[in-house]
Amino acid sequence: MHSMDERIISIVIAGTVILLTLIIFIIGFLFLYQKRHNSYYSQQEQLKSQFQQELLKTQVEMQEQTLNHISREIHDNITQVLSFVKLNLAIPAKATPEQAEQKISESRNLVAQVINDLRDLSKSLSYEHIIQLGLVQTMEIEADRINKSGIIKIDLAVGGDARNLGEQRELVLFRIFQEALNNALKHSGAKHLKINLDYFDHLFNLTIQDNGVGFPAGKLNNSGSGLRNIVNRAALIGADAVIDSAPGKGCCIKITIDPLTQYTHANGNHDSTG
Amino acid sequence: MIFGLYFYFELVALITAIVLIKKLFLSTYGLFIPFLAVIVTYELCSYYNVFKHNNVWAVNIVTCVEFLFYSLFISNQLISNKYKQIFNWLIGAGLLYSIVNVLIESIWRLNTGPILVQALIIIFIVSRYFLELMETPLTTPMRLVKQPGFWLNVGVLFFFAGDFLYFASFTELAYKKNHDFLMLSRLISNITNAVLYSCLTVCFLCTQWTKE
Repeated sequence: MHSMDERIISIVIAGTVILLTLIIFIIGFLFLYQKRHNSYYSQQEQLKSQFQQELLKTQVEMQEQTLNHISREIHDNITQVLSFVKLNLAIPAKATPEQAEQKISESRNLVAQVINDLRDLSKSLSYEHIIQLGLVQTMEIEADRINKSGIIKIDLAVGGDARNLGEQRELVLFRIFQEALNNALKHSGAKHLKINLDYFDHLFNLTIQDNGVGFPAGKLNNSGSGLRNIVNRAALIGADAVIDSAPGKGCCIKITIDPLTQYTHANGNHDSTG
Repeated sequence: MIFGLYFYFELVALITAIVLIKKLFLSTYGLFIPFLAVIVTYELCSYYNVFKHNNVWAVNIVTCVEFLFYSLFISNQLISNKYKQIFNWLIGAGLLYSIVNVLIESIWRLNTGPILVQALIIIFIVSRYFLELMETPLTTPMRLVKQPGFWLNVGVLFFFAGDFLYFASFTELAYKKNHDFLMLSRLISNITNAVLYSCLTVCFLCTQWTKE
């Protein structure tokens, strides 16, 4: 009987030790889980701040581009036209009333042109415009402006029902478009740029294709910051960027994004229509 | 005869709670002050033999009070209303079983059956609490060491799981006045109570850092 009691006591001791060890193990596991959780959290926080920095950089770059455009327009166009108006209005004393009237009429037309140019300039593209007008309209204005300049021909096509993809996403997408446009103008020697914006139910595609000189596929890794920026920025808004190019075959940049996916760092908004 | 070692841990927990009374009463942790006062009073009564030679009826009542207090307190800390409801039913059932057991058996014998059921219910509740801790959204950092609830649950889990097998063998050995068993019971009680009340002390200190 006594040995039976001893056996029970041994079982109680062993069982209690096992239970307490199990609890220690569970608590240890919780701490390990906490460590992983917090490391993931700090990574997310880091990514978030990186995203905000990148967004700020994008806004600054867009503002810089806008200012450059305004400065160029004022220097190359408005100043020139106004100088001409000034010269035109310096009517010599000998001029007949008809000649004077013709000069005044010419000057009036030129001033009207300047007013129009200034109006266009006031619609210059800043990131506030994307918020107000939406991606499609902003890109249309930009394409229109470039087409008017005659440097390159842009064809913009919108497929499906255009809708708001979220301020930050649209801002980044527009910046990608500007970067692609910049590359086409500076490096590719393209004469034609085809842009497609395709809105599907669960997918959005932005395709930018030029007919420039193109580049070998391997060059993408060694390319300047322009193309790398496109890929990095696309990743920041949860989009995939595919850049396809070959010598003599131009370049095609395809950005694919699922607007229904709420990317951690971008304020995706798929409820409102654009 | 001297007080059991664990009594000093209980006393430290009560003193800490009283010192932090203002902060504790800003949250539900304030309820620990009257609870610990009852526990310490019970220990003092046991020590000064107020219950005469048989304090088992008081143990039956105190274990029930402990079960009700800890289980309801932790259950109310759960986020999931569904589990809160399930556990509230389980607590009610556990209490009913204890009352029925007292009526059927006797209040003068330790009701080990209900004590084991109570321990199991509390272990379930604590497990759910830990699971909810692991479901902390990835958008918020986890700070286990600074969470009073974490320390409370660790202490309660140690206490009820540690005492489980001791109570399971109580009927078999305690009434035989087995010396080894009495030594073992004293050892287990000291360890589990020391862990519980140390954790409670840390838990009260942690309320200093949290807004509830």
